[in-house]
Amino acid sequence: MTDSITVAVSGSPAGPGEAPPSSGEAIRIDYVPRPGLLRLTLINFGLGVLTLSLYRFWARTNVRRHIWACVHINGQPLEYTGKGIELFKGAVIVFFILGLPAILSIAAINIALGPDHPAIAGIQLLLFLIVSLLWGAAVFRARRYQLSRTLWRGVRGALEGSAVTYSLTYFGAMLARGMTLGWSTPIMNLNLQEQIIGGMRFGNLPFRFKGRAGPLYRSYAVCWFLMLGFVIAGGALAFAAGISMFHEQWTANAEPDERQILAMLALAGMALVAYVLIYPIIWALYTARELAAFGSYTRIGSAQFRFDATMGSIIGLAIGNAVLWLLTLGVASPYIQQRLVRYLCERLSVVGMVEVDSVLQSAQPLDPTGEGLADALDIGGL
Amino acid sequence: MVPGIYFDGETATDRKVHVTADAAGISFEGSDVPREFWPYPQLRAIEQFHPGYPLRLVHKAYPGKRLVISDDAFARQLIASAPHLRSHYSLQGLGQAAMWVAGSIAAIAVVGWLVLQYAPQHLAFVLPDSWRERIGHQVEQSLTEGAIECRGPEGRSALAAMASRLAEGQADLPPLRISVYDIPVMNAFAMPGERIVITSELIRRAARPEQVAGVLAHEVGHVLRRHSEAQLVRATGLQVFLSLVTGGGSDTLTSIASVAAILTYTREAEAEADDVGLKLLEDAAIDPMGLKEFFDIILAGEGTPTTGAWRRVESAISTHPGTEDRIKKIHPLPEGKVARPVMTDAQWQGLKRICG
Repeated sequence: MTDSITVAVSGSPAGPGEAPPSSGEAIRIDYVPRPGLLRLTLINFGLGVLTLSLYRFWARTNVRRHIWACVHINGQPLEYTGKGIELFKGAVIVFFILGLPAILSIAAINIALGPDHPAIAGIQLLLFLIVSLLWGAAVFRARRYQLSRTLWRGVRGALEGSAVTYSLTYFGAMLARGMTLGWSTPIMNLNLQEQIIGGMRFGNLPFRFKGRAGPLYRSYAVCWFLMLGFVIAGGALAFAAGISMFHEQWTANAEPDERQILAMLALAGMALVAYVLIYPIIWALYTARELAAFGSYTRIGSAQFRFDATMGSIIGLAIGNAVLWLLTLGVASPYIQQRLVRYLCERLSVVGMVEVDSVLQSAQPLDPTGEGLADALDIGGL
Repeated sequence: MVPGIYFDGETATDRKVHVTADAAGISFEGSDVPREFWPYPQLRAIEQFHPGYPLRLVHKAYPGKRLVISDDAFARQLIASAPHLRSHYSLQGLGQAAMWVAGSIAAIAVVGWLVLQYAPQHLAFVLPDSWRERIGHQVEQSLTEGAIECRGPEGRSALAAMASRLAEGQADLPPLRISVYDIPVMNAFAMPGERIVITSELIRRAARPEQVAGVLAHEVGHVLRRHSEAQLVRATGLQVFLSLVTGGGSDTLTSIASVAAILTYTREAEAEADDVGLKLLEDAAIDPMGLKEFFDIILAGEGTPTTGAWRRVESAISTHPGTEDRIKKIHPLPEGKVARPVMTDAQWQGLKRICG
């Protein structure tokens, strides 16, 4: 139970903590796979098709229960106690409050005023604004639900803080990102992460998050200019290909023939695949830096986290998952999630001692429903 | 007696305990854990048991407490005494899941029927005329975008004469708005608000007025049954329904399903419009063989390869029932009923010149 791990702490900016580690136990995180994921994947797929995807709430719950149980901290697995029906109820509530009014108003305008009426664009714009404002709240509430349904050594996790504040920050981050062409990303990500990690609890033991965005900017600049180059090169390439293939059609104003339409579709498909695969590669350097930095900014008790994220490993993870997704059209998503969680477990370590034994059960009340908003907005993640 | 680890659900402390089993349940105690007895029927396994992985148990009445047993042989012995621990899928749970699945399939079927069948047929007849008029206008504009409307006065009066011939003996036929557009594809459409569009190519290819009258009767059949209004309600409802089920995320499977559903109803509507059209022709004493001849023209066209990929795609996703089946339903006027000409030769020549 108390196997300690030795991790080199040289180079970590703040060291293992101001107070010398006195008592408690060292923390070790392992991913211990269990049999049964393939069966789960196939059952989820079959029932998903049979129920026109309504089974997704139970499917997601079963996958989480499996993967959580594979995450061992000091030999004891995490336990996921959420239920599919809670996700289902959450989705139904959000559907009646948000989805149905939106769909019905668009449908009514469609029939009353016709499909080309400007009121439809107005409603869609309004809807876009509402969704943008709610997106952060959805992320926050989903995280809070998941933490409250995560048990380790019989004690629940929790997330304190305000979903409204987080949502406004999230919206502000989106606007700032657009206005600064992305350059506000490191500082806003830090801010958002601070609200999430700073609000996280294991029982009554708080996580803390403190650090600066400055050290992230060098890698952000590298990735930003790489991306710019890629966009310019890709755009020029697509333009040249289009000109050479369709020049005659455009000048003759004729219908493209079958072969050319296929070529056009193939080109668009290739561009999409290239984007899906190349985007994570270009940003991998920054992603790795950000994960490592945010890891080292995180503390629990007097212990400090350490996230050994590297560019190469991030690329491997992202490409592997993208290929897995493309080859199975999403059916293998439980394996994609397993790869993600396994990566976290293998790369995340804790430096210092945590007094686990004295942690008391969380006093936070449990949300009766979960993630409705996140499901409605189709937010990814576990 | 085997060692176990116990969590009380109040603190994160792991407590070492000794576990024993008897015929009724398991007991455990430790240096800082008073003796507890958990009867088998109250026990639940947190995860499905796999040899080599610890068995984690919970008491139904104390959902926060956990007892972890790492001894494989002991775990197997427990499962032998309480087989419901083998899997976390209990019979009750499976029954519940099956009920949910069956219930949701039934609900989807009922709502699907409402959306596809019931609501369109009924709503199509209660939509306010001003709405139908506005949509019809927009649909006509977008379908004929870029094409010039043919306004030859003689042709227009010939069409009006044809329409009033079809209205003979029909008390419930609303006033129609028929227009001809200069479009080089042979087609005719019925739209909401009693609008009908005929292409110039169709008139050009027609050999006699009865052929145009046959097509017009078919389109009037669509108008009388309000097919385009119903289709509009159906498409809108389907959109609402699918976003309800899939939670807003549109996905390939559902869009294929919706196109298939819409096409099924389109084929049904075409057959129905044929039947109504034939009835109209018979009541107005117009030779129905004109419609047959028109189908023959289409059939001749189907045999020859069309140019351009778009047209190939168009025929692949055919919305009309097999032309040959449709021809089989067309019979000459019954004995004793004499066909009267649809229009005079002069009117026919005027119609032929409607686009100038």
